[in-house]
Amino acid sequence: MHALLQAADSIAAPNALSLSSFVEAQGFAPLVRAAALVVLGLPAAWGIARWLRGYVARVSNPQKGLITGKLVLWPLVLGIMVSVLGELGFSLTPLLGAAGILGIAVGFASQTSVSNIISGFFLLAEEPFQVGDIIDVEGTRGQVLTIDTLSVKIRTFDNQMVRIPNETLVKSRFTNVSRFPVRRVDIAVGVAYREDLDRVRAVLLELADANPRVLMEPEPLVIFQGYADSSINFTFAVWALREQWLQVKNAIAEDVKRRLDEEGIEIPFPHRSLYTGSMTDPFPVRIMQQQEESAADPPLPQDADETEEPEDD
Amino acid sequence: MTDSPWTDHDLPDEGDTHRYDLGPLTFWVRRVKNEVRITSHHADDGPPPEGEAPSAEADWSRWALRGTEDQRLRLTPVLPDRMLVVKVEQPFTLLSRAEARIYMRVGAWVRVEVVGPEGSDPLVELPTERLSDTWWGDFLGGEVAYWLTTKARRELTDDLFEPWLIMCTLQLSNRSADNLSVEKLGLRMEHLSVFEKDGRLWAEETRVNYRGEDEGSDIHMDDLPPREAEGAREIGPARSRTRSFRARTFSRLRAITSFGWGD
Repeated sequence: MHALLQAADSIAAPNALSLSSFVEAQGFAPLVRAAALVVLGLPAAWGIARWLRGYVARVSNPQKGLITGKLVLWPLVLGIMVSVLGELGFSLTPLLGAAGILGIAVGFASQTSVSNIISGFFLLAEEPFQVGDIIDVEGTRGQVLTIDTLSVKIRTFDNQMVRIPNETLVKSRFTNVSRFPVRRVDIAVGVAYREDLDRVRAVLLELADANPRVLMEPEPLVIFQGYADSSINFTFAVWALREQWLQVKNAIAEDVKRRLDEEGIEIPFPHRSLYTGSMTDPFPVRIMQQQEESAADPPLPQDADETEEPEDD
Repeated sequence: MTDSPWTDHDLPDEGDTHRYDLGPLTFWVRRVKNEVRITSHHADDGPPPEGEAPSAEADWSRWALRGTEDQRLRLTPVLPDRMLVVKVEQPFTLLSRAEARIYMRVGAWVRVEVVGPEGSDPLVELPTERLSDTWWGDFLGGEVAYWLTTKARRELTDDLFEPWLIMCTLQLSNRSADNLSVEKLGLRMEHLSVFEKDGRLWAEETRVNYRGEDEGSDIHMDDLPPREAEGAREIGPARSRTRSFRARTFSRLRAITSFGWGD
């Protein structure tokens, strides 16, 4: 504590001098040099870092550009600030001592921020994703906008910005959806037990063959999944370029329904029967409001059609 | 006078529509003031509408020209803009130190340009054959390509030629000590030009020298038409002028299984 007070005194000493006495003692030159360092040095540092970031991004990738920019900018800024303080007559030795002691105090108070900063560097170095990739973090899916010092910002597909702390990404499991250039589309297809399975398989593969956006290799697959309660289930798996994944998914799903209907292949679905307490009694129907048109259309006999259960498909 | 479609055509008069049929591809060119409009139809989507006019729901692409005086419409055949993965319908084995010359047909892409005194303005490229996409290579280092199946014919007959089909000639040479199973070929179409002789389209001969599974293949393309079309004139430029390079060209069917089921 004594060292801290001593350092504070040393730092405060120049501030006790008036500007006029500082100028009398040192002349205008240090002030001009300090001002020049701030006015010219900081924009120059920012410009250099920005240029390097862009250059590395062009020759390598945006991720490495970000790292390079940060690694160049912060040392330059620190160097300029140290030089400015030196020009103004501040002694850096006690300042650094104070900074060390303060650093411990601040460090305890800012563990989360420091953890995020370090995690950010891990993310940049490990490159599990890059700016522009689409990631899924605990159910939030979007495109990576920036990888910043404390957080990663993603834009969701309904155009919201989500900020995810770097530490969260380092600790948790996430999915990079767009890492690889091709992706598989899986469509669950169920057909009735009476259907010819070879025919079903052939029809599905024809569908894949007919869609030019479905990749011929890796080849489309029809995978038997199991005998379910009301259907025999398959997974129809086709591959698409990642940019066309959504279009292919929609197109294939619609094509499957259309084509199976055309071929007369049944896609069964669970049926539910409603009873009113006894399987044998008819289901009672009560008409709540008499339509005007009903005068023209004679009512159906209550004891026949309205109580009949629909036939099974 | 030639019946070849690969030439310059008059622009339609104001309000008129011209129709062009090239194999499975039909396209229409309409002029409205100084604007050219193009729409197309592919036989895969059903038979094209009869007559000069396209269907009412046609989706037109539009270009406003600098002027219509002395402007002509040029149709140029070019090869696909991506690599072509060619699957041989009946694979064959090329024994060590053996050679084979095979022929395959590739549907031309129609490059539509407006040409005039000030030069040419490319408008659109329309594929006569609609090729499926495929992937060539592994998940990280591969590239998207078109897929084509071929009979890999060993001899030419007159009925193989159509005005919209480009005959590609491959001279395969197995320089390795192992037999080579020719099942799939990865061919870089962007390096090939198109030649015409007697209404038939040809691409340069591609010589592929296979040196082994680890060493890949040397690929070389001449600037001349193949010997079967000696004297043919170039009518469609190559998209890229690289004439010689080394690449992986052959792929066996077993490679496909690596993409199989399971995450």
